[in-house]
Order: sequence, then C-alpha cells, then structure tokens
Amino acid sequence: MIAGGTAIYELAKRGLADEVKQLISLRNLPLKYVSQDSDGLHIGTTTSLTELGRAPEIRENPALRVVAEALAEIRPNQIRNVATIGGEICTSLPLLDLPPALLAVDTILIVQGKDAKRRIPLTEFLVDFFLNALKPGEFLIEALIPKQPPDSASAFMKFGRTAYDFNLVNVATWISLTQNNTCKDVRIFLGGIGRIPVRAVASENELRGREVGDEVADKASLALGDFKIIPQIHGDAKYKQEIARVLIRDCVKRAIARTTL
Amino acid sequence: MSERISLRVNGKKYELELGSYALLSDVLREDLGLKGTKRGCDFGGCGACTVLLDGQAVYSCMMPARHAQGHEITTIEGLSKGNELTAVQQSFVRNMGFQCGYCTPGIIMSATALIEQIPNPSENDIREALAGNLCRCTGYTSIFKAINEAATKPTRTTTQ
Repeated sequence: MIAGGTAIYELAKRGLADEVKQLISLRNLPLKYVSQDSDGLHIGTTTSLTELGRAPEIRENPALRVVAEALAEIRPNQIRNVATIGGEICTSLPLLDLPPALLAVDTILIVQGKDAKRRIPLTEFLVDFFLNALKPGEFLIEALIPKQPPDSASAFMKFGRTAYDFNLVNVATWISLTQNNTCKDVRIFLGGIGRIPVRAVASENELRGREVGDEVADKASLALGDFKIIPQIHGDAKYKQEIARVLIRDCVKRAIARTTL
Repeated sequence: MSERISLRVNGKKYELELGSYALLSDVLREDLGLKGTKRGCDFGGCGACTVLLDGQAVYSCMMPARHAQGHEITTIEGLSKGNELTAVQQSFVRNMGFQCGYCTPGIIMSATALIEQIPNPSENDIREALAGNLCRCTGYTSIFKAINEAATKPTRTTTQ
C-alpha cells in the first residue's frame, strides 16, 4: 500500500521492489486530517509533511515542538509536499526524522484490519530495519499524539552531511518538570544509531528526579551508554557517538529552556 | 493493467489510457510531448523533473500519474503567456541564472512556487525552496540573484 509513493518508486528504480506485484493507493481515502480533542492530536495517515508542519497545534505547543522541528528538517519541499505521516512511520527506516520525534511524545498508532481497528504504541510498531508490526491485511490509519501535560516541552536536532541529506544522527527530547524545577519525566530517542530509533535510557536516568540545568544536560550527554552503532560512509560508529553526545546535550538544554517554569 | 485517467495540465484537460504504475514525468514527456520537464536522476534526488501540483512543487519522477488526477498540474510550458515570459523567467534571462539549462525548468518551477507562497522571500527561504534542485554549472549565485530580483523587482521588462 502506498500513500505519497515517494519511497516505493525509488526502491523500484533501484531494483528493490521486484516482488511487489500490485500497488494499492490510500490517497483517495478520507485520511487527510489534523484534529484535536480531549484524547490529543489525531493525525490522518495520508496527511502530508507540509500539511502537518503548518498545523498550529504542533507549532504553538512547546510539548510538540519536537514534531515541528523534525518536519522542518525533512527536505526538500518536493518531498515534504507529497510524503505522508503514515509513510514516514510505516517505512521503518532509522534515517528518517519524524519517527524519533513521534516516539518522544509517546505516539499511539491506530491500525485498521479487515474486521476491526487496534491501537499499538509506536514503540512496539517499529520492529526492525524496513519492518513494522502490521499484519497482512492491516494498514495504518492514524497517529494519535496523547494530550501533553502543561509543564512539558520538547526539542529536535539533526546532524547530516548537508541540510538536504538524511540524518547521520538525530535526537528527539521531551521533558516534563515538577513545580520546583525538577525533571518529572523525560524521553530521549536517537535516530541513525541502530536499526530502529533507540531510547537513550542511561541519559534519561541522569535527568529524572534531578533539578534541571546545564549541569544535568552535560551529565545526560556523557551517560549516553553503549549502543551498537551502525556505521555509514559519512560517519563511523565512533564519530556518530560523539555527535550523539553533543546533540543530546544541546537538545536537552533547548527543551529545558522551553519549559514554562 | 491499464485504465482511463484524466489529467489537467497547464489548463488543458487530457484523457489518457495509462498503466497503473505510469509516472507523471513519463506521461508528461512521452504521452503529452511536454519535454520541458526533464529526467535527471529519475528518483527524487536532483529536481530536474519538478512540476507544480496545485501550486506546490513536487517531483514528477516519483509521482504516480493517477495521484495527479483531480489536481492542476503546471509545467514549464504553462508559465508564459505566448511569448511573454513570467517575471521569474525574465529575471533568469537578465541574470544568466543558468548555463547548460538542464536544471533550469525544475528550478524555475521551484522558484515560481516559492514566490507564489512567499512574495518577499528571505535568502534562507530561497535556499529552502531550492534544497531539492541541483545545478552542476552555475554554483547557484546567479540563480539566487535571479530569484531575489524576480521577487523584489517583478515589473521590469526585458529588452529582447
């Protein structure tokens, strides 16, 4: 099944989609929407990256800025105008910018099967490189970003060879604070490191329960932890690890600066 | 498997019998003879195939032709009114915003979409708009100049 179709045609032209015999386009289904209710923000699967990026619910809410910033880092316009939210998620590629951002805000997916819908957290949906948790006959219809606590903020940062390239490393950070400036909860996801986005648990542990400031951001960055980092031609594992450290430090600081306290 | 598809290109309606996987770039060039839209890398990396879909820049080499049904497609051939070039085209001529010319139709489509959406683009806006268009000749300086001038002095006419 395709929505924007940008990935499948590239794969086909590289000879990687020879087993695909029939394409089904979701484009004419009424699944292009961004709407808010008491559950949170509902994003239809065929909403384009451009359309979501323009949504005030994302641009104006500090807790969801991570999503707006990830969308702004996806270039060029020719892709952003066509590629869809559903495609960015279902492709399950660690090179993409939107999945870590959606993971950081605890996104839940709504999947349509032959007879019924089911909900699945994004953390369980991304299984492996190019592999998601959809069963035969199922497709993604919606991403739901749950309502965010009022004292939360977020940020996204990306490092690539040029602004136009896929990431070498990206980081998505979400943080919530208590009344006395202590980190109540935090989620940090890294893209470009593993076969799917990975959670920087050791860095998060340096933040949770501590008073926030530059010092804890530095500690979180140093605590990165041991990941089996996938090397790329423009960045080996050691290089990517250093980049990840710097991005975590700066991204945590940026998110903290956005909290309203 | 083929099916009937109707497309609106540069204000004209076309009824076509197309295979399910036909790409917009191939249909524009081969079926409609609109060769101004170029094929470069042919998988969304160079921007030579850029056309407008309802005013938004898209890569026609990655778009199934059937996805363009119900939308207004504009190619480089659809910009000028007879011999009268648009302000963007005139500015490219004045500023020599091209050398070999292969990337030019795609770049002019991206620039046209930009100025339509942001009439007074900043340098950063221009860079964002051109991120998906490669030019291997000019070094981009004359292209930026052409777009900037088209936005700020759109009424100046050429002497040709």
